[in-house]
Amino acid sequence: MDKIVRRNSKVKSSKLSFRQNFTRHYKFFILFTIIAIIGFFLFYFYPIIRTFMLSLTNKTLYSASSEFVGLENYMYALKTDTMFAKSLKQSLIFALVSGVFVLITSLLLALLLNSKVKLLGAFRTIYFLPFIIPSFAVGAVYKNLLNPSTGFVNKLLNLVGISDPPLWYASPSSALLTMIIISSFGFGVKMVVFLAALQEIPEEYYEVAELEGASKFKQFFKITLPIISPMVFFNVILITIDGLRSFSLAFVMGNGSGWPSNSTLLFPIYMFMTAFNMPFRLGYAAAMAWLFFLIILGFTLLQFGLSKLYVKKDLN
Amino acid sequence: MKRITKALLLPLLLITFLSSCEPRVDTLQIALDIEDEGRYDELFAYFSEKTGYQIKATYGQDIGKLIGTKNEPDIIKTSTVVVESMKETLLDLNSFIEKSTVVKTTNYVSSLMDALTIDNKVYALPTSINTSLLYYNKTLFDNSANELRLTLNLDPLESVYPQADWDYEDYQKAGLVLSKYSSSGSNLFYSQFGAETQLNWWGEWLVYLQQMGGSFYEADSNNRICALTSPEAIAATTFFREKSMGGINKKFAPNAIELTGDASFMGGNIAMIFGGHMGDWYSYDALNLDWDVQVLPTPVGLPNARGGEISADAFGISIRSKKSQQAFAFLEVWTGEEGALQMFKYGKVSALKNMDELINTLPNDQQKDINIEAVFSAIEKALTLPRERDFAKVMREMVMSELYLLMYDGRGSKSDVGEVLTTIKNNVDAYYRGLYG
Repeated sequence: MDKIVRRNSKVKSSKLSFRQNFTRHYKFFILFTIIAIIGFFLFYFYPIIRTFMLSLTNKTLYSASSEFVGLENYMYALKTDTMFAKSLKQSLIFALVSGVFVLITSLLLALLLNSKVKLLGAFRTIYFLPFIIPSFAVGAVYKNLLNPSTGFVNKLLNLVGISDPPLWYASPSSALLTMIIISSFGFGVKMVVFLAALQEIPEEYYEVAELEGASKFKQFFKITLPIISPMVFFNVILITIDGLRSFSLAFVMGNGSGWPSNSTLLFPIYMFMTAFNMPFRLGYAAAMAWLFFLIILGFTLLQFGLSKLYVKKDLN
Repeated sequence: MKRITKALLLPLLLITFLSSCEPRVDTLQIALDIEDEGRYDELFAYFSEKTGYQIKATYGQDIGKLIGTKNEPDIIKTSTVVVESMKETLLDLNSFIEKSTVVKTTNYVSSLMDALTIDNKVYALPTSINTSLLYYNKTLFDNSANELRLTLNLDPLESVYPQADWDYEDYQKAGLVLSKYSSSGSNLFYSQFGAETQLNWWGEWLVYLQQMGGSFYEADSNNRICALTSPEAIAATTFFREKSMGGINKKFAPNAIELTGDASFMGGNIAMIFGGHMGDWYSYDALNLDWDVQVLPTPVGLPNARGGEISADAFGISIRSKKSQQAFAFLEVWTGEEGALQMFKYGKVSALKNMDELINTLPNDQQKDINIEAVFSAIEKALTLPRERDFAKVMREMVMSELYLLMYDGRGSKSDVGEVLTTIKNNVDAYYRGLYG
């Protein structure tokens, strides 16, 4: 019966003109998607193409005209610019170390929040809070707390007998590490993603495992982790991109210039400084943006490749 | 239904269109700093009355973005430092100046006009200047008057404040007296310092370097080879370092770590600033600091040493302006005597050569209670920054970042001045080789 109805509607549909078909099936689809498509072309596609065109020129922020220089900007970044290499290296260290920390912390906290503890709602809100607070404000607060001369943390360390407390963000040897520690508290969204995945795991799996005598440790590695592995992959991608693109915190901690001694100079900050500080090399900054895009793309593809090793699609 | 919709939408469209059109008034646009909001309304009104042109000022907008989006105002703010980078967006003012009965390039401090003139084209006219001075907190000096008299061998009637003939030794002696600390074991905790340390900006260090006879670039190198391994550079950097890092008999300024605390001239617990910025005068007054200025101390045995920095805000006309003639008429007022007097109300000193005479014409209540003669003496001895597009980048990324390592104790810090200066020289030279071959 079903088949007959479907066949009849197909016949009817084929008899309708294109216009009628469009009106009936696609009108609203096109209308709603066109807004997003226009937005994509205006605010993403056009700037991406424009940036590429810029990257092939020696345009500065204030120059009325510019010359085509081919791949010169790209070659200069890769072969000559030591600051390009330094900022890239620091961004990678920042993304990798803080990423690992965020991943582990968010998973651990999600596991804790998934258990039956009192005041669960309050804990969830508290752990999610750092994500809601803007990075600029977070940076400013931590700068106060970790001030080597007047900060609360060093005063506390002095009180417990540590006479030579760390210099935190004021020393070039510890400034990046300080930033990594601060950014590691930004686990809110990742924790929520893990929590959602954990809550989807049927309780029966654990009951059966317990009956068979599996320890909690074994349950985690044999049941929990394989089931939430797609979410681990999703979070790894998010964390990598977030870490590499990190700007606001580094801007506040490094006074917008990688202070002290370029130790907090992350790649996006260097790119920004190149374009908007003297000598305002917009074309070169655009080339750096493209190189950075390719690097992020490379890392994302690598993650996709590696995901085959740990993402379980079928538990059986 | 369609007719009703059209009937509603069309008038709405028309109203929107009409309301977006401004009444046609002859206006000139200018973009100013956020702190200038409202300060020059009187001057704008004066100009409107004189010419019939309204001045539409916007405040705190990023001029780079305005130019990048082709929305720049008719009158563009630049400075002696950035004019080289901005010159392509600015009109050559020579033809206007030739016709003008008011503006002559000789009206302004010549070193500033030289900085604003590139390849014989005048890209902007200077307004308010900044030059290096010795700033001091009179209250802190008064509080230590007796000790200062003893240390500087002053008669009871002589002033304890900094004098025009001070050398670095006097500066250091006074700085040591004005530094107050308590000790706990081998640690010293400073509650007050004799002088500030400038680590975010090259001003202070560069002045020491130039006053001691050194220079950043080697002469005749077209500003491409760094000259920081000279004995003068080593002496200047050693002095810069020791005033923050020296022993108890040499240290009178905060080191990099102490700078993160609450030590500051504005906070009232630092007695002197070597260099400083004239743009801060307004803040000092707003904070009710009892302050004054003196010419910079000079190295021992070099009383006529030059080396203080001079720069100026300047205004030019956009190459896209359709009202360049009127814009220049405004520049005549803005960079002329009317503008100078209006700016002086807010602590800005004009680049006009006769500014000291202009100030003398003001009634007493409008004059500033500071040693204004010191400003004009300082201008005579000051130098503009090297004309080099990458100078600020080099200073920021290669010089101050390395000098920072000399200014604290702990992991990663350095103490060998010669080694640090050699590193800077190598990095700067490599940078220019990379750029120009």
